[in-house]
Amino acid sequence: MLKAIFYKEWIKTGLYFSLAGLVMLGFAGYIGIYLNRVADLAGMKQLWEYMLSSNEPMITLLKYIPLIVGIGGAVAQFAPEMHRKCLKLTLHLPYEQHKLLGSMLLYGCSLLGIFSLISFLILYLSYSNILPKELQTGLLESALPWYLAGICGYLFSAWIVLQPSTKKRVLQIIVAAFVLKIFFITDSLGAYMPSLWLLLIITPLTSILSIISLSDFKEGRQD
Amino acid sequence: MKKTAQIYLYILIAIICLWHLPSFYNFLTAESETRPFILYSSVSKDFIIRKNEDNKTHCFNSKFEPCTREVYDSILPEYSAKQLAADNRLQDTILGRNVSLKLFTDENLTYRIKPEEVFGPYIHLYQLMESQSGRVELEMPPDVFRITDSGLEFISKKDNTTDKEKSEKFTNALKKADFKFPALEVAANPSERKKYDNGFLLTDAVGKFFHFKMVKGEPYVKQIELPVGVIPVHTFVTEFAGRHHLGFFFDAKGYSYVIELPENKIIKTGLPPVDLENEEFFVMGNIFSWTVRISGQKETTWYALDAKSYKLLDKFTLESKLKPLKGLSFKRNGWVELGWR
Repeated sequence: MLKAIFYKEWIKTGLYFSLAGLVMLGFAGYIGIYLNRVADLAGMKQLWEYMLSSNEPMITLLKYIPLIVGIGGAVAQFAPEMHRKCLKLTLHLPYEQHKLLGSMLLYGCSLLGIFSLISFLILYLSYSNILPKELQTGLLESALPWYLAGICGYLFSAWIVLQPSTKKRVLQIIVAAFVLKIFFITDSLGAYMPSLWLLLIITPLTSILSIISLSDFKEGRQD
Repeated sequence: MKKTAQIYLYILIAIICLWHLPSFYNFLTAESETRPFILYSSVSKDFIIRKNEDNKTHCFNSKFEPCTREVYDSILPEYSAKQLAADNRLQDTILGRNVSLKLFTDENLTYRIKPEEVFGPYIHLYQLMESQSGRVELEMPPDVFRITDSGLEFISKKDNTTDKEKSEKFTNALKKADFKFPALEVAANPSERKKYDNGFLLTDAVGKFFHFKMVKGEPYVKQIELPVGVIPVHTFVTEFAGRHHLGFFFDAKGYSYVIELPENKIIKTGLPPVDLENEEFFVMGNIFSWTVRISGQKETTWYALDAKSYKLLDKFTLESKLKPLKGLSFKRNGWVELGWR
């Protein structure tokens, strides 16, 4: 059944996720090329000295890309179901409803997870020859909350899009915005390490919020 | 399952409220509080307060008795030397010492330590500058080094490769001086903006203290004898214009020590223990005395130390009027760290 749901979701969102994946990987590739060009033109000495003195990663262009891709993914996946009111049909599939919703979310999270992993790999490979391991680790540690924000943003957006009540939806947007703010408190190299556990708890737990929206939908709640 | 989701949602809402409502309340109720500029006057043996209000400069002594700007200049000649010289009021002898504008300029010193600089995120790569290049202006080195469990590893900034020869040379120099790897504490000021380079202060794995620098391409290592039972926990290298100091350090209890050149003599200061994790340390010194400002959340205290013996001469405390409401916070000394503060 999981395979069938994944296939159904792919038919619906294949184009979006293909393009979004290209954008996400494209940005990671661009950042890699950008860092290499800076190293070529200004010299690795300048690059290292800037990063060591400022403690700032030079990859902030990437910062909101995973989040935008994640939010877009949830909208592409769940907005048509809500707009065409075909979520009811989906829920009538011979599969336990929570499992069904979980499978749909797992589909999106898996794709975002794969894009994030490949982006990480591209980033790592592109600067592994120009930066010492301490700076490489620092950059990856800075980027990790942004990629987790992508998945968390996807899950929050799914929760919001699936909510049939507009009033509740507004409140949900406020909660989501404040929680996502936690992922973007600072860009400093390695600054998130003491709080990574919290982000790693919040991100998967956010998936269960969609059950509230699903329940409201089934109860036919509207403004 | 829906109940679990609702409980999770309430937890998220509670976190948001405890995070943002106290800071919003503090923002709404905050009053303007400008910290006055306070220095110890060795002439009047008192703290002198300078405040800017209504676009005017007001001066007071520690009993808040006002004084004129001219009096302020004359009792703080170390800091008003330029003004006194311009007014033709700079004396040749102050407190029994021959003084000049150049002496004051050369001997005045400042140093600030912020909690996030000591406890914040840091990339553990260090830059060993050439301390005697023969050039007036300093240059950043062509490499960085890391300290591993077995030695130093110099990595070229040009091609990101390890310079094995240099690594071995400098590691052997440290080992020869009985330095035990890895280092517990590493301090330096890698910058081209300073006037000269004092290199590094290193605390080794067993708590021994070393001065380490590069002199004409060669390693310079000298062990600094510590008072019995003292281990430097937070170390700071200084490059003051006067060149009388190598740096200072704080021990595990927060007591501070000054390292004087040329013998690397360690002198314990008269300051009480400083909590560098929560307090900002700022020192302004001159040939007569040092004014040390230690600012915490509740109060700021200014200490006057004798410039030679570092004994405590006087202190002055101002309590903060602000009583901020505590709440959940994600920021601590540059880290993202959840806590109640």
